[in-house]
Amino acid sequence: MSKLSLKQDSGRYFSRELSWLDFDRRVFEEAEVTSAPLLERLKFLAITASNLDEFFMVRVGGLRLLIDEGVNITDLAGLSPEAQLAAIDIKARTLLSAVYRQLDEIERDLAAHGLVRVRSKEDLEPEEVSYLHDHFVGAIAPVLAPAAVGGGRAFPRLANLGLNLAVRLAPAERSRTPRYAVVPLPAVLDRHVVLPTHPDKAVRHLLLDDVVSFWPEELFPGETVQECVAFRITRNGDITVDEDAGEDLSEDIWRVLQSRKSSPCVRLELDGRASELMQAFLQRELSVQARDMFLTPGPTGLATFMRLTSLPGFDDLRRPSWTPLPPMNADLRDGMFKTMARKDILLVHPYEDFAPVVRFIEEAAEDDKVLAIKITLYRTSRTSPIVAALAKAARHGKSVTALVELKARFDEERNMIDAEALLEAGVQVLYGVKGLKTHSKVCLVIRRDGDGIRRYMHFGTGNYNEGTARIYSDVSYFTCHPDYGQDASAFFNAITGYSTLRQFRQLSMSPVAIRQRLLELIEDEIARSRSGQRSLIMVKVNSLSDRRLIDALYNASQAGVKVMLNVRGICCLRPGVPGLSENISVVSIVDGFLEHARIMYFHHGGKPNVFISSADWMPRNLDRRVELLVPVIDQQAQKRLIDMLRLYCTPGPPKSRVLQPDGTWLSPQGKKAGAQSVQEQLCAEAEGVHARRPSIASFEPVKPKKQKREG
Amino acid sequence: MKTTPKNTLKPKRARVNRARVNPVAVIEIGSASVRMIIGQVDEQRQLHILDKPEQNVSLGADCFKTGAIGSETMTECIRALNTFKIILAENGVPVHPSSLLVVATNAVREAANREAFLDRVFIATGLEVRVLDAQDTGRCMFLSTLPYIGRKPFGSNGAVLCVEMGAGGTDVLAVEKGRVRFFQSHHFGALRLVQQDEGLGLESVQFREIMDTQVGRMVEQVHGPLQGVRKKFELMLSGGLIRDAMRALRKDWPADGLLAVPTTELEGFLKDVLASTPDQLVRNFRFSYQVAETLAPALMTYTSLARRMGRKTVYVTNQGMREGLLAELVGRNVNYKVFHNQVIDAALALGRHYCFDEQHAKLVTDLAMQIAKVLSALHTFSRSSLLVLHVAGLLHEIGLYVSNRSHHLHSQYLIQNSDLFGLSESEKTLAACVARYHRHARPAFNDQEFNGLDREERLQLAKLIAILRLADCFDRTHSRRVEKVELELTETSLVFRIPNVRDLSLERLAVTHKGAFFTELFGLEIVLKH
Repeated sequence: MSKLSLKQDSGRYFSRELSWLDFDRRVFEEAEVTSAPLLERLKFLAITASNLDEFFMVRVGGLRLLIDEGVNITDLAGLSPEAQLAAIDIKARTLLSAVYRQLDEIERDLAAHGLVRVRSKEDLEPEEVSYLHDHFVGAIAPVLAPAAVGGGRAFPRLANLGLNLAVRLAPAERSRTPRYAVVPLPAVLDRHVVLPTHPDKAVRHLLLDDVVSFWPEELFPGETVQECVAFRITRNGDITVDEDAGEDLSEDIWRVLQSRKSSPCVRLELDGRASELMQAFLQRELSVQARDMFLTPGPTGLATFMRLTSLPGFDDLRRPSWTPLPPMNADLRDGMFKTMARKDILLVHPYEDFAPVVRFIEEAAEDDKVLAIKITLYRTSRTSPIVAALAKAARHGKSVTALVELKARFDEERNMIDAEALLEAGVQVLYGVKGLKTHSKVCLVIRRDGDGIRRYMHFGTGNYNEGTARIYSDVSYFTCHPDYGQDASAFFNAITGYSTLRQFRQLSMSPVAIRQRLLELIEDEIARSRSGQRSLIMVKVNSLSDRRLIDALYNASQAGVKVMLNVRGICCLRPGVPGLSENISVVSIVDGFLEHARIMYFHHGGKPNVFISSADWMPRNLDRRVELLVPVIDQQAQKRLIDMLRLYCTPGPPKSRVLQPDGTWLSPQGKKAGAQSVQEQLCAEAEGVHARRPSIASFEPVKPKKQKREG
Repeated sequence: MKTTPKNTLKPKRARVNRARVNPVAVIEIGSASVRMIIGQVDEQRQLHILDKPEQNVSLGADCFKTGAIGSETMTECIRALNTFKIILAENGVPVHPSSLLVVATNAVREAANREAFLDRVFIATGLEVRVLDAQDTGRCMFLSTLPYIGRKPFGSNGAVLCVEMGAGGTDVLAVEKGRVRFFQSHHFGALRLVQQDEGLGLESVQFREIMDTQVGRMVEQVHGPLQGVRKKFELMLSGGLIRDAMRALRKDWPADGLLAVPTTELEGFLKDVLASTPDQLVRNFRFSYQVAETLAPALMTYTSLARRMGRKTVYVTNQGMREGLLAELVGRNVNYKVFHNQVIDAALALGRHYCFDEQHAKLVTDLAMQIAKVLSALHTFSRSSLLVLHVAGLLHEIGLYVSNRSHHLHSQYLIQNSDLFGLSESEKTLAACVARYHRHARPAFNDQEFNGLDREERLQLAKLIAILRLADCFDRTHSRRVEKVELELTETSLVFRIPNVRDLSLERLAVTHKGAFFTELFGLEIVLKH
């Protein structure tokens, strides 16, 4: 690549949206790895589809809004919204074609291993037909609500991403005009219907849409069904709450949820076998342009195929599941508070268990010495033990404050349910911060210890969600350092409106300070490099799209600072360009666990500055979200994170790809036999430490606090 | 101000120990904001700050404009205080005078509806607010300055001028060789200044000119006492406005909380501030609007003063009034002793000014303090009470400078109306009252000052009066016959053993006249022995 001009031109950056599609492509490539277990490949295929769904809802939806509103803002790469949509269309369609080709291949191989998807009625055995018909009549048909459409009748309000059948009926008597109906398939019905089979035989399953399409006449008695095809619509999900509109945010959120149900359609996926008549009918009724229609060569809604990956049996087709291990560098037998008082604790999930995080809050709820608990909640699990512990703490009379972010996209409903449960228990609940999304992950416990008040903190890069903590790679840092305590108190005082925002001692908070702090850290490395000192920056984030930070990294590269990045998803930085970024390398890892931890390292003349953060290096995180940048000062924890970053940022291991100056991603060439991916190395490390642990030599009985008096 | 603790026989350390176990807090209701500081002391008596929340409540904007605090502002203030009560509970700080001090400064002090405000706060929050006077502020300023005295960059022989410009006023404290040289409290506050010329608009040329003139006049007033002084005074700045400026300049506070800032840097920042609208300042530096509107006069004053004093570097501290009060609340005795000595120095200087009999004054005071110490086995005397007794003892006869006749009344007037560093107005009133009754007359019901006190205060004052009257008996002739006294407290009497004086008839006579009040009050017979 020729040397780029250093002036601010669009060639300096990659397009955000196209970079995201590249990420989804990398996810898809994991489905193509023929050496991987089949169900693992199917999982990546389902993730690719699910990612695309969200991409269309939010990103394509957002671009459509810009165009509708006449806003012609170009992206970092200089592309207008129209140009972005055009480029997206090409990339997305190419990806989708590949996805369906791959699905065919995987399903063929699965069938060979005894997991067969039956696609037509003709492939069913007579007894299977009988079973399915009974199932259709008894369990499916009663919950279906076919609706005749067209001819002046209102089109039913279809659920976003919900499956539907479009039915063409024969024209009425003395008419040539075809009649249409729509059959929404409710989400309560399982998409995948498994047929009863003999244990020795293959497992045969069908898609719900196929089952219904076998007997459509039964839904329209007396009518002739000429065509029955599956379709799905994607609505614009880029609808955000207008916080100035109403007084009660929860009501506003309900309004957003309602409007998402009727927002414009940005994508129509239709069974590729649909007739031109049907295509034209749906396009007209749904006000969809031709460019928004996707004729699929296979079933729509592939995200649901994820359910198949957990079918009982077929263990040989799955990657062995990973069981998170106890903390590598901490013995928690004395309880969280005593352990934290001795030493900071660093946990890297899912290699280490998330249970200590839950335990921290549960112990706080039970502990008589605990005065107050404060926490930010972004996305919790359905039956969250953390939410239960907070409610218990409030019932025990502790002062509990939970900032539940109602604006967490697509989790609004879940969070409102949590918020209501917490309110009922007496927790002081706040629905986030006006104008900002609270994305930070922090829990503060104020406890009266023997020598005075001490504050215990947990800072995380991932949500307080023990479910996702098993599959997301994240970092937890526990400390009771007084400076962090002061900062955590100031943080909660600020976001709960108890105080104006104050200067922090250790932490940095967005939207106020994180970008500035990062720029200063980069500037420091530049200054050190210019004065002849060794300099190095290592950063692991999910996305990198902030122009000022990218420019700072370019400056660092030009000053001779070595910059090693690991960016899972969007990366707008163009690495390896002479005169611009030749000292920058970008690695991305897509593997069994979702890379989610944000870790940063600045060499700082040999006195490393190491941070964990909830924030990606994106304008949304740095300007429109409440996030935290947390320095890790414990030396052992620092060393572990630095070692991890070296692994993550060094090209070479399987599952890592390196971003090229032209925007392509290259997989490592000439893989060594037996080479382990970064995640496999981290699993092996955790297992190694666990195996070296001394086995229990004596047992310590647990006695009740008060012995019952004799007699 | 309530200065009298309960008359109790509880161990004296109880309060200090409690402060050790429980965190303590100070809430300051200022002219521009309501701020709180929560801290706790460790086993090494080091104070650790736990939390410092603050909320913008512009009492000054009301008070300096209309003379009273508006109802809406009162409500805002109460809301802030109730929020702080939640934080107090979360940090285990009991709402008890030994753990929590709530003070108010200029705006509340000057408000015409001050009593209504204090009542409303008490009803709505249960918090009793102590309104600080200028002398209280001086004491706090001195206490917060103490950690820097005798250390780099000031040194033990150094001289430092501490200046804090707030929304409602400017306090100036000059410390030289660890001693207070003077303390001034000016009604020249940043908000007050901005408000008085509000009609002109902050960016107008006329407003700038007026501000320049006012700041120039102020700087001359502050610098006046330093003119002709050989010693070079360093300039130390404190307060919320300069702290906000440091934040905008992205300064990190060192562990000791003292920053050295080149005057040119401060001037450069002032230029930026003057070139910006308040909206721009809020946007660029995340100031509150009130800070954005009042920062310019403060920076102008500070930089002009630095130039006038010829200082190329100024020092900025993050320690302020709240830190001083918090240190006082947790009972950091070392500091208090230094402070006590400062007040005594100021009292002696005043006595010398009025040509008092210094030896007599010191002898009577020493004996009075000795009596109080012995009695403290049975009666609690607060630090403040002992300080009042000490000052009253030293100055009880300064009225002689005016006239021999009724000199006790003149003493009362002179003490009451002098600038005595370190004593609050109410403490000065008490000291003046103690001096007033050192002669024949006892406190009477027609005495307005005495009857204005509540029962506990009256009782404490009566005790101080009785002690001073008794001490004065032993040098009635100003001959210093009695140089040494040994005291013994029995169940029924206080025994004075006086060696080297063969004839005690003069003292006995004096005790007969002036000691009866002591006996009635303490129930102790006074016994004089060789």
